[in-house]
Amino acid sequence: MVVNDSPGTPSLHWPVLLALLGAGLVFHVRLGGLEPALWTDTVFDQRAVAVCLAQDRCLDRGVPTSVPGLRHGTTWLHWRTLAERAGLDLAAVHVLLHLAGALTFVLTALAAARVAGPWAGVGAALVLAYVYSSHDFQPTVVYNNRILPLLGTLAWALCVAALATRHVAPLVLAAAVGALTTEVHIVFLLFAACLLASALLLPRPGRSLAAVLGTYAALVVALSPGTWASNAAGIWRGIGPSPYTGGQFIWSPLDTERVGLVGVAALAAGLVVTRGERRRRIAVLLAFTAPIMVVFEAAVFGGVTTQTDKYLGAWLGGIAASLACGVSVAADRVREVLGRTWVGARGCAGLRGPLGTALQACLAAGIAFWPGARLREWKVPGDLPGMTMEDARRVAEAARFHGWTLERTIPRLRSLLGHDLIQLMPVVAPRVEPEGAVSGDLTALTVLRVRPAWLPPAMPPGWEVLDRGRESVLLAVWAQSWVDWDRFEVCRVRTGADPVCRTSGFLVSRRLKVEENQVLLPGWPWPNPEAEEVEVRLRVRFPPSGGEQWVFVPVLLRGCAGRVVAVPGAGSSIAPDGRSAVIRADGAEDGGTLALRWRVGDRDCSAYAWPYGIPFFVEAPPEDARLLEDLLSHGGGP
Amino acid sequence: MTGDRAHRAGVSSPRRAWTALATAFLACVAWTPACSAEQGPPLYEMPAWAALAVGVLEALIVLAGLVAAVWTLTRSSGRASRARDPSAM
Repeated sequence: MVVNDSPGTPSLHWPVLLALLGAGLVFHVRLGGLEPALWTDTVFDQRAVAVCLAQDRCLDRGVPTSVPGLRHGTTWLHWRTLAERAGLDLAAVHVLLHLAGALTFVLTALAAARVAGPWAGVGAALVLAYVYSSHDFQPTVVYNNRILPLLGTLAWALCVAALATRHVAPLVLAAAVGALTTEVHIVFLLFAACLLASALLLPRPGRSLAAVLGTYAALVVALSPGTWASNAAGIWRGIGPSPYTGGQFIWSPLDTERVGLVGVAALAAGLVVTRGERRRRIAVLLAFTAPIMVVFEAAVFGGVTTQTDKYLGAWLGGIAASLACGVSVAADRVREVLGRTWVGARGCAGLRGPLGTALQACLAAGIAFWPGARLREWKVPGDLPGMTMEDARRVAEAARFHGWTLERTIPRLRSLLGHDLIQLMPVVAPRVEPEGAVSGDLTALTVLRVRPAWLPPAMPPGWEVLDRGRESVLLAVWAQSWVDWDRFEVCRVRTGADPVCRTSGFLVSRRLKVEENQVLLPGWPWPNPEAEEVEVRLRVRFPPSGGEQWVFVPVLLRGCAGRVVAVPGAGSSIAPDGRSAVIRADGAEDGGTLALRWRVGDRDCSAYAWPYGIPFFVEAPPEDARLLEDLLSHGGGP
Repeated sequence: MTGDRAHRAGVSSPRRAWTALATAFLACVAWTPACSAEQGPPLYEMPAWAALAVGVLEALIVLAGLVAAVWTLTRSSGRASRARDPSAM
């Protein structure tokens, strides 16, 4: 027995769709907040946009992916440039991306309803809330992955629309949207399978196929020839594995993967027990979600990529719809076997009538106040609040009032993900001239976001709040450092061999370059974690007055924790685990070397926290160090 | 050109379209790596006006897709269901 589907599956109606739109917007604002987080990709994009508009030189080969040799994202850069030119700041773009997420709810429900009925649409919206709230796609960040759920779902929905109208035009639009999505993220190349299946199910399949694949291929190449020339050259030379592996940076509960696998299995079963139009639409949905699930599992098991479900972003709507449609078809099958109609099932088709209205309200409230849709901090370890893009400007402004130039600030700035902060500062505050006199005692600046309740009752000297929000405050700690941050040695250390060292230090460029960091560290290595460690040797100068200085290395989620291996001073000591040390000024010496060592990619040292500078550790007078240690202990580090 | 003449000329032939598509694709694949490996990728940068124009075009494609998807999946569905399934009215 098969489920006998009527060709005209009832759809959802406008009140339901508007309720979903509003609920989806509330959901996303709760999930991602209103101020975008500080993030490497956003910093890169921001620099590219600034160069494009200021120097009339716009990047036409996308941005590097985490796989060396491959690039993507030209379309994303076009849109970011357009938004900047239109006067939209990052916060406005962040809200627009929330709106895009809300539209994803609408499209997912609408398309799922056309595949397997209104209950499948409602179910898909609820499943989408579940996968959205647990998915590894960083809802606090403005970057290309944020737009993928909308674009991917739209491309699939247009395939469903083509089947509904039996016309190739929506499918050509699907191909065009698919090409844009592929520009935004290269993994969407797999969408070609969905186009193929949809075209074959239309009248005149040969012509349809030529039209849609031609549109897709032509647009993918034509919108950004530089990207694809670069990718072809990269593949020609051979692409390598991602260097961003290891450590505790990647957090992914993999709920999306599980939902996707169950959904694909349920859909495959649905394909067997249905016929007619519904079967065709299920086939198209299966052609949309199955390829990415197969490739994703193969890549994970083959060790090609880390097991993170962020690669499934463009398929979120399809994955949610797969599960909901699979279950809906199974429910219909059970109903047919039992020969019964579900209570209100027909009466509520389209969610109309009093019961339908009540269900609409419940659905909207359920999504808007979904328990999992809470602001999740991504940029910093544990539960510490994340820094925002705007914080770079705040820090630059605070430094200016202390008489610090960018060149003075950047080497002395210590933060949990300081490399993003220092790369962004010359972009957002390139011509800041210092005010006020420089205090000779304050030679290092530590910047953190913390919960307001964690602040000490009385702020010690040198501690100031640069921004106060309801959830977090931006704390700046000006302190005396004994380290000469302007120049240091960085060494590759291999077992059984002499360390290979070279002198390095921060170089700040005032001229924006499209693909070059503003702050450079000559000789900064990308070590092989299997074979070597990296040691940084810092010059310490004892103050004439003597005294003590504390060093501690917090072990934090997504951070890169090193170990202290050498301290100057006869009375100094290092803790057995190497995570802390006390430096005591010895009257007989004027200083020496403080050395720390990191194994990048180790469990405690994320490769993401490594590439552009000395990972975070605290070196401060005992009173400041003790308070900072207390603050960081709130972060829930392992 | 009439339909017959077009048919005789093979303009609308799927085979011809496929051949053209495959030729273009192979030419593209053969050309870009060779070119890129020696001279660097072409069109590395574009002027701001071009980036903005392409951005507008891309945004319009998405907008058209959104309108088409919502229009089709809401309106024609209702019509189809009323036409074919009176109980859905």
